[in-house]
Amino acid sequence: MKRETRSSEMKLVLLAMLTGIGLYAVPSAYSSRVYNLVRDAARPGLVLVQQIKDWEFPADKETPETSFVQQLESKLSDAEQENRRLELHALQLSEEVQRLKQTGVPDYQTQASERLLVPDLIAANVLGESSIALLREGQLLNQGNAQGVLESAFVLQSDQPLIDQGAEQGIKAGYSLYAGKAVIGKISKVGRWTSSLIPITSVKYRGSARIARKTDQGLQWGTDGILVGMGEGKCQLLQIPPTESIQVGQEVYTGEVDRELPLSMQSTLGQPMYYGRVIEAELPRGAPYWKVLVEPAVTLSDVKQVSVLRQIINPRRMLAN
Amino acid sequence: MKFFSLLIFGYLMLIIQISLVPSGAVEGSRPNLMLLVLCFALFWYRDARVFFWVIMTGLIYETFDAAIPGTGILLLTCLVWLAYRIQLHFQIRSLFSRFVLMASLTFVFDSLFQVLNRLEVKAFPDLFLLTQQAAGNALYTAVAGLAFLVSVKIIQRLVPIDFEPHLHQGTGYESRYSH
Repeated sequence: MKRETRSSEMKLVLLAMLTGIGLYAVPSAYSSRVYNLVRDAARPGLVLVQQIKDWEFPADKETPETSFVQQLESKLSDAEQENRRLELHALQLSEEVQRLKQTGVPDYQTQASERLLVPDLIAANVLGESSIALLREGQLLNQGNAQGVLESAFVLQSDQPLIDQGAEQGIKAGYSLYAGKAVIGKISKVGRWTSSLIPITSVKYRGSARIARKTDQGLQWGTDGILVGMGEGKCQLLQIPPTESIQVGQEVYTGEVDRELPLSMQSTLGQPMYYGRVIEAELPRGAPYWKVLVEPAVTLSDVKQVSVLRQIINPRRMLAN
Repeated sequence: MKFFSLLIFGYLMLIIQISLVPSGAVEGSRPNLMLLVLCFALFWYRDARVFFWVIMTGLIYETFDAAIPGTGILLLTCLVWLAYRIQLHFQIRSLFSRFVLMASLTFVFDSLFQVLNRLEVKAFPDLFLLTQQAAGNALYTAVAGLAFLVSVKIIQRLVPIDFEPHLHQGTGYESRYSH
């Protein structure tokens, strides 16, 4: 009896050891399947706890007045966005007409072809403080702060804001982030599951930008400058020469080429994206450049979902080959 | 019956560990409830079936702490094997000895697991801080375990259900003085 007990003990210890060694030895793709199973098993219980918490502390109810104001603000914002879209479209068409005037229209009909590189927008959720705290707390052992940037089970250890997409989804540092047609920031560090981002108002942000002037003939592009974050919810547009005509209220868009990014990471959207509006413009006497302050159209706190822009090889071209 | 009771208890502890324990941290220390489940399996089974729970607990730690695969299971197997032999040899039964066993197991596992997983990322923490934190976690875990064991004993006294025949069915200690 005692010998049998000892034998089963040895067998089970051996089994446990082999399981550990097996998990260490197999490729991470296989071991992560096992871990995903454990995570999936825990999910129903966690959802239940979250529901109980939500039921205990329901969100503040909105009054009819505030919801009406919100509706009006939303309509106004939609109208402004549509206006900007139409102005940009008119600008593109006028540029096309200008080009055709210079080169002339070909006698034969040109067949449209597919582009090789196409933009691909990945939807990502901005992780709020509570989500980050919840995910960090998901650790079973309190392992404290690590030196440098590490990723726990879910969250990149970073003080910057986070989105819930990472290297697994093909995100790379430097990729731009948009909310609709407005620029939100760019990716700073990429973890396996999450990525940290630099908002456009951060002092670490730099991006190519230009001002769109409204004239009788429609919008006209100004010279490319550099938009840098100032913190405190504002940005500054640098290197705009005094020959430019700058006025408060003018709109600021992304530049043609972002000098801060390598060529492989330039935007392939084929259209300028919106930064915000000029709120202060000053040309000090004898200064080589304008001093332009820009108020971002959208701040990170306004949005929950953003799009990450990456470029991919056109799948239709791949299929055609 | 024991298996399913422990399974439900383990799942409950896992959910509490992830969702509620972080808000109940005292001076940065948290109880490791999954280790508590493992200790209860050790005290309750008193046989080699506890190693099945070692695999389960190890997997859970590796999953939620993004540890190096296999380290949790290997470390727990070694430690629980030692604890299992100690339990059999000294026939651990009293609340105090169980408290000491839970605290020691948690302390050693917590420290070694952190050291092992920091080695790979070369972000080795201050040893004094690590020991301090592991000791805090171990004490918290052992106190929680003790409270649970005491409450089980009180319930057993209050509710007229006899658990003893099931508890000792083939898994009781042998008398060291009978020949």
